[in-house]
Amino acid sequence: MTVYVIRRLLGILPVLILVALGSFLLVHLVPGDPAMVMLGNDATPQQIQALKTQMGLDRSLPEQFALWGRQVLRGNLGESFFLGRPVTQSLMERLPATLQLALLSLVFSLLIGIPAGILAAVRQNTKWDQLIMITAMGGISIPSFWLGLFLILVFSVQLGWLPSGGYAPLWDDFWGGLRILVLPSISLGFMQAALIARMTRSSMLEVLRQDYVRTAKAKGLDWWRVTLRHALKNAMIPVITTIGTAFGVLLGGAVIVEIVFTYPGLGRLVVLAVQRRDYPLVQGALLLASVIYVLVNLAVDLLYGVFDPRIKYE
Amino acid sequence: MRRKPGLFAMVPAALAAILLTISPAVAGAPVQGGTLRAALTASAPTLDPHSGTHLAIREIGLHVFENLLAFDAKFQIVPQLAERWEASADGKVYTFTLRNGVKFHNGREMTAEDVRVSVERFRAVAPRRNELDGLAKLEVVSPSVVRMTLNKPDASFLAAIANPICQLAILPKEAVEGRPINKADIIGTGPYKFVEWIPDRWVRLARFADYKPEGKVEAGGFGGARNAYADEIRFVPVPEPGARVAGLQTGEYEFADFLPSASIPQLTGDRSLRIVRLGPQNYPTVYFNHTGKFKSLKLRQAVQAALNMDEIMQVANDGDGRVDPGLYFKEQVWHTTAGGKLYNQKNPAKAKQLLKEAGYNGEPVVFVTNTSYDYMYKAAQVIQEQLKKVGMNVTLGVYDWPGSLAVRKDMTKWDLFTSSHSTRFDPSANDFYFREKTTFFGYKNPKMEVLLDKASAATKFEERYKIYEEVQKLTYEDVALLKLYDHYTWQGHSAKLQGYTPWVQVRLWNLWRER
Amino acid sequence: MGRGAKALGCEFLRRLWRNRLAVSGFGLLAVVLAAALLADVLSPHDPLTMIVKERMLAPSAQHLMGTDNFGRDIFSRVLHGARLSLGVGSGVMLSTVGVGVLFGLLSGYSPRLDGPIMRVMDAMMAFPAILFGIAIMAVLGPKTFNVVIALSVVYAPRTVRIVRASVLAIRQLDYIEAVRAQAAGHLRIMFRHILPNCLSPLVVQATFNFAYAVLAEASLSFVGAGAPPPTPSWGNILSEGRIYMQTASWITIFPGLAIAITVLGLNLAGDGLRDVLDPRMKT
Repeated sequence: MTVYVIRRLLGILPVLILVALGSFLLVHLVPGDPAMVMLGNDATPQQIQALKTQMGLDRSLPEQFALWGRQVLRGNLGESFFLGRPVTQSLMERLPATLQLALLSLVFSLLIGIPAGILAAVRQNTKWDQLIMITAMGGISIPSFWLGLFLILVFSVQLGWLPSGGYAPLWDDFWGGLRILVLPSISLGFMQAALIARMTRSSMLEVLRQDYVRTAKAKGLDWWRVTLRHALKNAMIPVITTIGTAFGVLLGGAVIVEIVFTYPGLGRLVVLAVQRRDYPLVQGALLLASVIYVLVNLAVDLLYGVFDPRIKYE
Repeated sequence: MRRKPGLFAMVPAALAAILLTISPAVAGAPVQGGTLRAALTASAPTLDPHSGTHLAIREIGLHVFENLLAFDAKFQIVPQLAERWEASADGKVYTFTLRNGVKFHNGREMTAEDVRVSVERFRAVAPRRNELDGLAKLEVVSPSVVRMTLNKPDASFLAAIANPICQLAILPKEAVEGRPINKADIIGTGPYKFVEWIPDRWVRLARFADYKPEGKVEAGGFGGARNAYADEIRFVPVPEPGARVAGLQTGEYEFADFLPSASIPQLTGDRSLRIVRLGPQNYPTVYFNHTGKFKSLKLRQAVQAALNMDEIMQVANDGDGRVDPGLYFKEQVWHTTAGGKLYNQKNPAKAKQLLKEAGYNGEPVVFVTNTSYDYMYKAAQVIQEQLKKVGMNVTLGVYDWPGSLAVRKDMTKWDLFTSSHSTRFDPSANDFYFREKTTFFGYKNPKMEVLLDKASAATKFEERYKIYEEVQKLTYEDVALLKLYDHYTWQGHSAKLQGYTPWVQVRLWNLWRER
Repeated sequence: MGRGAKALGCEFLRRLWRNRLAVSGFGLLAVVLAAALLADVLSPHDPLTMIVKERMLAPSAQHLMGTDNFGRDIFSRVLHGARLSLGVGSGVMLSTVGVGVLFGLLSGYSPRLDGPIMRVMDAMMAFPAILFGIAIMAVLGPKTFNVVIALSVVYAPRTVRIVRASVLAIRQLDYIEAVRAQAAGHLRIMFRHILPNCLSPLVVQATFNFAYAVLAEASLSFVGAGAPPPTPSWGNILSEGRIYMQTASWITIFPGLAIAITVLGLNLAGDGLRDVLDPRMKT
């Protein structure tokens, strides 16, 4: 097992190198460059060229990549062209905001999804089941930005109950920050909640069908104990493993929700950086997001192996 | 005879009512204190005033930095850091006498040496530094006198000094000497000093206690007395228009810029807010690529004839605009309607005829636009439809702003391009579009060059005005580029904010917050 | 094969017909497909014609879904938007299936190729989907075809993974060992024996890829990185209507509904297919 873990960890390295290469190429292939953006509309080609040379952008792509790569290996993600400060610093400043959003969305989706799934499974084929499943179906079909726009229209503009934007870190101002996060978290987490509900339901159903559960029921054991203790534990396995991918999806989906709610997270930072061709920032952000995703998935994969003895690791 | 007390009692009340309605800004004496939170559209790419022409740089920068001269509300040049200036008889030598006792935000007093270093650094890095190409010599005559010598008289020289776009700001020598672009320290002489910049979050400015206003408040514009009443200003970049509206309504911001016209009806009903119209802020344009198929005058004329500016304005800005042919706004002294007959022709029949005469055979026309500026994007779509109706095969190339600039550089990749011109303070600011050496859309017209040279040599306003009238007429007759309409924007602020007048761009000096 | 396959096929269709989810799903899709195919016939107005005087009209008899800020009829645009969404969706579905089969088979079958292929797939999946899509569109340029490419690149890796997982599971089965013992060629084994058994999860994943593509196309258009105007796209219409949410909410309501209905149909169909093809796969 330990050999497997080490092998997996080593296996991440080529992935990260590919991600670094991909981020670099992608952003450098987009037409337009930061010099153009910086100098504005009326700059002459000579001025732009001069600035590009100053920024080191006139060197060949492989050379630029090598320079950046060496920097990254030393732990330095470079300096943002437009923010004038280290990329790492800029990312770390915005990361907490996005993490709060993603985590709160995850909490929302678990708090709604799991109980809903259990309820639907336990009351299979009744009105509850149908209602929950229909809502879940709707949930995975509605675009998150559409949901966000409507939540803003109803709860912010018409009713005025909740703010439509802004940001306050939860550790600074818990209730204020929470109020700000409610609508974006629901927009972002609704689809995941629906997916988790469906998965929980089918997983529960499968476990409930198992012989040992039926035996326990036949034996007349306390039905709830049976359900909650045994069935739930086993049913949770596939759900837990999706937390990893759910987190990744939430990190990615946060971009659109951040735009709709003007939430100052990583997503908006990267979109703005792409618009300004702030190469170091875009590369650094993509690298960071990918690293987080890869590590979380690795952790979940390993946990999956721990939980489910049926999985054999060669 | 019995007097009717009622009538007499009404007179003072009526007078008061009349006074109140005609002078809404006079609502009590200024009160110091408070924080002003202003929602702007874009993040500034940098705060270094010499480093870019981007609007956001000067929206903030004009509160922190000052130039030797400034434009007032009437677009006339008034003193700012220089208390007076003299031009020599031959128009080649300008002597500026600096004000005494002007302090930088770091406590040091400004001297002519700081002016020299600032100007030299501007000439090294600024995008519009070629406006000072005629400056042959800059001498520090004394700690408060600077002499600038041009190699030939240039009527637009003072305008170049006073131009707020990419300000020729005066910074302390140590903040700016030898610094590459974007790297100056943010230390100026303005009413507010720089405190902190968290990019994409806010820029914080604090009142500069040692600021000495110059001139009268009434001068307005970017000149005159600029008093700082608020303790702190926070400029927050809020790119989504809906979020700016929402923040204004919830009181999160005391001021919000560029409000979408769709939200105005509902905002005007809100009694805690004042909605003002900034008009005009810019005019959108369409450039032709004169090296491609639009080398043909008839083809350009066809486009000119087909466009319906009223419709374009209706859609692009929800009707908030003014259809006017002037390359300078009606509010400016340089305004003229020369060539206006060719503007807004809305004549599809004539356009079709011109297309035939030009020998147009359905070749695809590439029209490059961008999603970064909503109104340009919408205008492009309307124009595409209007041109389609007269038989032109137009495809849109949609990029974001930098992407569209990249495409524009390649003259083989586009035929039409959307852009906009913000308020020009002097007509010479538009010269570079029309000169062969500096144009980026391949324009070449010897007659135009002659006119522009004449204008540059002229020294009297009346002379220059007549020449620029000719320039505008030629712009229309030769269809060098197309002006679409005067674009108005809306701004909103809390009703508690007193003293705000909309002009050109956000200005938060001489503003105070009522208790 | 031969007659056995036909019998399997008929049995499959019969079970599909009986499955409520599949029927309702495909039913919805049929409606959307009809809208797309018959858009020209059903549209009361030209989707591109702008009548500026008729801007922002609320839904009425003449304009069933109202008009947008350019004065175009939204109903006609939504109908035509179905073409774009279904076109992009099917394009993405087909290409991700193709790529998925190719690389999934190779990866699952050959341990030597497995490593590098999966590393690349992992790297691709590590990029946040929407940013990846925006960046690829920025590189390729604004064309509808490029949207298909961009989204296929984004969604191919998970298809590869699914196929690979099936291949891995099947490869270990006894009967494959037996076939191998008969010295059959690798290609033959891959395509004749392994692939047919991967079809179930692949078909289900294909339907979901279609759904993801429709949603993703709308998201890309929403942030301005999708198909260029004036081609009507549900995402474009939504994006244009965004600033008019309070004064003209119909501009955003209807395309959003259209997206939801299409994606719902696809999800239902996918669920139904999963039920029918392999009840063990229920999640």
